[in-house]
Formats: sequence, C-alpha cells, structure tokens
Amino acid sequence: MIQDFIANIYELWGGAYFEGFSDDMYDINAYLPIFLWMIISIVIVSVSYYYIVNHPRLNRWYWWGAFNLATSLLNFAIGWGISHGKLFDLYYEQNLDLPYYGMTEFFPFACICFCWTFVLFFVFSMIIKWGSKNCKHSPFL
Amino acid sequence: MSKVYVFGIGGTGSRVLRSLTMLLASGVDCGNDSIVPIIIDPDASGGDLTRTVSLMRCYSDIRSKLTFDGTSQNEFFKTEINQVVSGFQLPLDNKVQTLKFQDYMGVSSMTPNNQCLMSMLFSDKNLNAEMNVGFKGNPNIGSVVLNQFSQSREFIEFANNFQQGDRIFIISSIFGGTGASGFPLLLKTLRANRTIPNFALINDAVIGGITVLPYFNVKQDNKSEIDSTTFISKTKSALSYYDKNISGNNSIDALYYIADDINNAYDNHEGGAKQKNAAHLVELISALAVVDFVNNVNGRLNPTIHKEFGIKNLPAGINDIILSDFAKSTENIMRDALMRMFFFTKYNKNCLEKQYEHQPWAIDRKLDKSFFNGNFYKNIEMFQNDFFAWLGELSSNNRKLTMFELGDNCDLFDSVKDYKPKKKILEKKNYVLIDSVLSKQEQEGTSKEQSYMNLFYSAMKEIVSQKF
Repeated sequence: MIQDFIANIYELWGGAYFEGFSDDMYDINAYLPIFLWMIISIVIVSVSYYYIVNHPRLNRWYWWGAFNLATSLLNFAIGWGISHGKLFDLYYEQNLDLPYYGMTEFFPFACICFCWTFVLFFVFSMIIKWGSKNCKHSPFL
Repeated sequence: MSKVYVFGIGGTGSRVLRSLTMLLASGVDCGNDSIVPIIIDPDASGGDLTRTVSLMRCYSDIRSKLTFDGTSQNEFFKTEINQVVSGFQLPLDNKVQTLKFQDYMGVSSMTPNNQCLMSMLFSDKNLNAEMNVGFKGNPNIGSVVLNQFSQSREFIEFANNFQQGDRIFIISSIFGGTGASGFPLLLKTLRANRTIPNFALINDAVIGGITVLPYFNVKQDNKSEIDSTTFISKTKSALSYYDKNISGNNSIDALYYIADDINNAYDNHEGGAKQKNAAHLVELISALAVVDFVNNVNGRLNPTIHKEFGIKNLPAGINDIILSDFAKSTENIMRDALMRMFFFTKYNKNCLEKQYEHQPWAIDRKLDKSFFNGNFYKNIEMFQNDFFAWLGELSSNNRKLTMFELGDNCDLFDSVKDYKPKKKILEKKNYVLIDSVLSKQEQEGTSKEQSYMNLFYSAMKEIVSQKF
C-alpha cells in the first residue's frame, strides 16, 4: 500500500513511468529508501534552518532558497545513487549488463527526486516556520 | 504625581538641563515625579539655550506618544518633562533686550548724587553694557535686572500651577553673570515674596540647588567683557554671600556644589548663537544632583544639607574618566541606562534601515516604512543624533568622560570602556544579536509607537544584563 503510494509519487501517477526501469524500481523496493532519505533530509535541513541556525541575516528568500536547493541537489544525488546502485546490483547478480542509461532513465528520475524535495521542503517550511524567532517569515522576505 | 520645577539659570543652567534630558531619556530613575524645566536667561538666542529647548521639545513630543501605566516595561523617556511655561523659558522684559544698562536704570534722569552712587557701584563698561546677550559675567548688573522676572506672566503661571508636594531645584553657575545673580534673587522671591499666587505653598516648598563653581575658562579677548581671570574672585565673594544669605538662613534645603580644578578654555563669546559650549562632565554630574534631589530630598531640612561630588578613581595627571571611575552608587544610577540608550542609538544609526523590512520584530508589529518615515521616528532619530553628539562632546572636553567608543572600529559590545562583555560559544554577535533578541521579545503596545519603545527597551535591557 505504502509502496504503491510512494511509487506513484515518483512515477507521477503514470506521467513519469519508464518502461522496465520503473517496474524494476518497484520490484526491488528502491523507492522507499529514496523517499525516506528525502523526508529525513528535509526535516533535518529545514529544522536546522528555522530553529538551530535561526539567523536574522539568513531569513531572506534567497537564503531559504539556498538551503532548499542544497537539500534538493542532495536528493538528486541520493535518487541517482540509490537507484543506480540497487539496479546495478540486481543485474549484476544475474550476470547482465545494466540496461538503463544515465540520460534516459537515471537523470529524469533524479530530477523528479529534486523536484519533490523542493516542493516538500516548501510545504514542510510552511508547517514549521511559525515557531522560529528570526525566520518565521522566510521564504517570503 | 508631584512635580519638580527645575530652574536653569544662564548658559550653565541650559547645559545642565541638556545633560538631565539625556539621562531621563535613557531611563535614569526619577521616581514618579515629573520634571518642569524653566530656563531664566536674558540671552534668548543663546546657542546653549536654543539647543536645550529644542531637545526638551523633542523629548516631550516623543513622550506624548507613549504611555507609562505600569503595563509596559519601557523606561526610555519615562519621566515626564512638563512644559508649564511656554518654550520652557521665563522671558525677561523687552526693555532688557533693547536698552543699555544705564538707560534701563534711567541714570540720566537721576539726581547728581544718585548718579555718583551709580558710578561707584558700576563701571562705565557696566553702564554702557547691552543686555540682549545676558550680563556678560557681571552679576552686579544681573542682580538688578533679573529682579523683574517675578512680574512676568510666565512666572505667575508657574506660581498658579504650583501644588502641595511640588518641589523646586535651581541650577546656576557661580562664576558668570546670569547664574550668580539669578540664584539668590530667585530663591529670595520663592521664599519671601508674598504677592505671588500660592505663596504659602511656594514659600514653604522643599528647595534644592546646585551652584556650579568654575570648571572652564574663556580665551582672553580684549574686546570681550568676559574675563575668566575674575572667575575665582567672583566665586569667592559669591560663596561668602551664599554662606550668610542662602545656607546661613536656611532658605534652601539642599545645596550641591560641584567644581573641577582642570579648566578647559572655550572661545570667548559674550552670548548669542555662538555661545554653545560642548557638553562637560561637570554638567552631567550637576544633572545627577537633580536626580539625587528628586529621589532623596522629600521634606524640609534644617539645617541645610550640603553635598559635594567626588570621583572614586582619579589618578593624578589623568584627565580621562571612564564609567568605572565613578563610585558604585553613581555608576549604578546611570551605567545600565546609558548603555541601553547607547546600544539603542547605535542600532538605529547603523543597522535599522537595512533590517527593519526583513526582521520579524518589525513585520509582526507592522513597523513599516511609513512608521520609520513618520514624525515619531524622526524625533527619535533627532534625539539620538544629539545623544551621540553629547557623548562625543563629553569625551572630547577637558576633563574627558569617555564612556563609550563612538566609532565603528570595534565590536559593538567592546565599545563600553573598561567593561569586558561576557562571551558565549556560538553566540550571535553585534547587531545580529540585537536583531535576534528583538525578535524574541513578546512585548506589544497599544500603538505602534508604544510597541516600538516597549520592544527596544526590553531588548536592550536583556542585552545589557546578558553581556555585562
């Protein structure tokens, strides 16, 4: 159930379904760790931004954007790295070459990870920002 | 709430009132009393007078937008400066402004015998003196001319306003013309004049005064009638007069003396707009005498108490005083208050413009461009510019009082001389810390002005107690 939901997220409810690649990702349950890494990194970075760093000079939209961008790029790398690693292992065990290529499958998938991170970072920011003393109006400054 | 009428006589009176205004703005405690400054100075265009009057007006304008009903923490501008007489001044008769002293006295219409008496009492220079810029260091002229202030509409207004429990304090210098002559005259009027309204209350009021002994010289100028070589002899004769006629007859309850043996030589201006001396340590200490009187002298005293001021650390040959050189009791009165106002001023000067649109403390209270372009903030800015100038003058005069490093060459919290700020690991620094503490405050107010002052006072209070 959860696996289906997470798969739908990364496949954009069929809008970003890659023949073979998406099925393999689903079968080896590779979406879940990518999703968990995304959630954990968003929580860590946004909580740090709003409550630990909580800096009066970092409350402008571009600083918030920089934290978000960094998290999104991290998840771009995580998405690419985990999917590539898990699929490589899958085909390696079967003595087969990996049939997916960087620009056709991994790059678009990593971009989706990037975009979801960016969106969820924004959503999570909207939820937690109110308790911050110095950055409560970020990113609308 | 009772009132303390503070008469500032002559240029020194105005300058001490300036220092007092700075202390009150910083939040130095004056109980629940309001201060009613009244300046007596024939030199209506005198630089010292006009500067002080505009400063006190600015203070009153700022304070009129604030309330102090016990719900707010703010102590900036807490003490009311009340304008009972228009322009804070007791104006002298127009004749004083336009006539020579001999015409004012009507010497030409006197009998020959009286004319001879006049020439014994007054030199030719005295008799030909114009009085529009004061009495130019001649108390013998002042003691005659100033006598007419008690008939002025403004003095009657003061007397009409006087109520049970109100007190009076008189600031004067002893070595000039206006202050030296005005002090005994005013005191005599207050104690013995039975023709003024409320005379019973006024005659029996608690009265204190500070007489400022020589603390500066003026440069020798043959064209000027002011000669500082006469300051000491004038002081001696005035002191001996006060001994019999002020302290000796208990007409005053508390008499404060202040003096310094280091004298700075100012430019010799007889009066007018150019007579605008830089702020001096002695004037600040004189202002503290007013604070001491307000807080500690509440009833008639017999005999008169006399108070002098001493500094705890005063190494020989050192002309530079810092806050920690004062005795603990003096330091406690003004240290935290001045620090709070100093950091408040520094933040407004160096940081506010760049930050207010981005910081939650301003956004949440809707302290926006219209607020910071409005009259209230303009008055704060004007006041704080003068506060900064005042600190600068104190630190460049002789003797120097250097409480703060006014430049921007060091960390903000290192700018309090001789006080090492406490530092914590990972603590925010300088203005960033101020913004951070401001955004932490929860104090609100019934108006934007009130919110702004509550906010800054509570933040500065937290910062000063956290760092020092």
